[in-house]
Amino acid sequence: MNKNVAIYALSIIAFMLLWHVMSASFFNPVLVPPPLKVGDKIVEMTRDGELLSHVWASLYRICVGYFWGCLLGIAIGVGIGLSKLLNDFVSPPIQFIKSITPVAIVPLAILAFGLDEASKYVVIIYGSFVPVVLNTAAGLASVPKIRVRAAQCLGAPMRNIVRYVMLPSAWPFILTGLRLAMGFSFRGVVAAEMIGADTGVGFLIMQSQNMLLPEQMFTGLFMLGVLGLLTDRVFQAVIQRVMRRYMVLIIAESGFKGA
Amino acid sequence: MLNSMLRSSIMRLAACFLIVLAIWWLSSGRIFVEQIVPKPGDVAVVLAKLAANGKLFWHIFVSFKRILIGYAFGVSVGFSIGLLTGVYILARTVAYPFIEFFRSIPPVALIPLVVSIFGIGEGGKYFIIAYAATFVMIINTASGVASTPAIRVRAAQCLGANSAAIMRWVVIPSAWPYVLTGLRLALGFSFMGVVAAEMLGAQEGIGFLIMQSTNILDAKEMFVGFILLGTFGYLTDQLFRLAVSKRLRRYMMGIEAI
Repeated sequence: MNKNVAIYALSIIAFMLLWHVMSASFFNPVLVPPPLKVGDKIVEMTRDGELLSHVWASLYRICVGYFWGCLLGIAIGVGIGLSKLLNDFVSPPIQFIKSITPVAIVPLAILAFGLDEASKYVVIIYGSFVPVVLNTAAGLASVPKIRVRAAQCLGAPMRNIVRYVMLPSAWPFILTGLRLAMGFSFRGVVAAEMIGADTGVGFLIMQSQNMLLPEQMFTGLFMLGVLGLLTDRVFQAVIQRVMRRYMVLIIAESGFKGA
Repeated sequence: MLNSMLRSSIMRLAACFLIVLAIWWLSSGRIFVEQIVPKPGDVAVVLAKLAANGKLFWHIFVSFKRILIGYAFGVSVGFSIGLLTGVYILARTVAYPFIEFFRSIPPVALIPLVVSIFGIGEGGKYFIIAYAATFVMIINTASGVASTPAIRVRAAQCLGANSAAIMRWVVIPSAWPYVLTGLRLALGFSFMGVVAAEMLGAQEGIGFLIMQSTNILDAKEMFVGFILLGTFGYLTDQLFRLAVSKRLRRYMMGIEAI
């Protein structure tokens, strides 16, 4: 563990050095500032609270949109998994919009809902809905029939089968969907903020291009990396806790860890 | 039997299509203004007009070219890094924090930086698409390599195979299902990346069709773009699945992500 921390530290320092050298030689330092300058900018923007307010704006949008998108996705996904009719009529359109990224929805959302918060929520709801609904439906479809039949034999009503058999079996899929949805929410919110907003990390990045403030742009990119990394980490920790009983098989089977 | 099943599923699909069309037609002009959600008929007219003067195929061609080049770059880099980080613990320890960090930065966010470095030429667009495609490839390849059953590697070692041979004949074939999943997912991400890449400074392409609609306040071309994106994204994904299921029958894996 300590060895790993040392390697992490070394590789990050090496990366910073490389960046520093590249910024002066390979790139134009006006466009790609050296890491120390970016560090200064991060400290400065944190001090005057500007960074935090933009980060908060983005996170708030994600929280609201993500919540509704996931709720909708799970509800419709369960519906698709349970009802053949719904599957026939809702699945094809969802398969179709699957390739339409949240970024592409931004112009439509802005046309329809203006530059208000609503347009950002719509983009995030859309972005998180798609992976959640697909994975929930796939999860319910992959519930072993024998489990459902066993519950039926024991006289369980449908409501209990869904609650105690199908949802727990589909849980790994649903969590995967929720995790992917978080990534899509970030993608969506950044695009929406870049095109039409006056707060948020996406706005920060876009504004710095227009006003030629490369340090600010790198600050924005850095924040995106950190936020994405943190939320994904939290997700992985939750998944690992919840999934421990599912993971046994997978861990037992993996061998080649590189010696 | 098969024939009737096929027929009934086509019937269902057709019914579904008609219902979606009806909802779209009814909501346009009632729930949404026609400038925002145009009637399906008007969109079809614009689609036909673009097809007639050949612009449609040009937009499709340009986007496909970008996707293919960016995808090829992205997956080659992703595969190499994935192999390296899958096999060598040191490489994984060094690279992992960076992979995780950069993976969290959405491709769209890089556009301003890419434009300032590459200009608005094609290079930057390839870069954005490659960036969108590469991470899922790295992660899938690495986990494929890491999940090679130890017993296979040991068996090969016992038989005196050197590490290059183990790599070629044991590790890569074992990782193959994961690699193919990575390739498929990366293709999906390339389709997403092209829209982002064409958001700024493009004059043609499917993403351009969608993005310019806010400037000209007319959503018909945007819907044409949505239709193209949805159709081609779906078709390529299905083709990929078909090809994969043919080749991968012996692995019989079903990894569902998106």
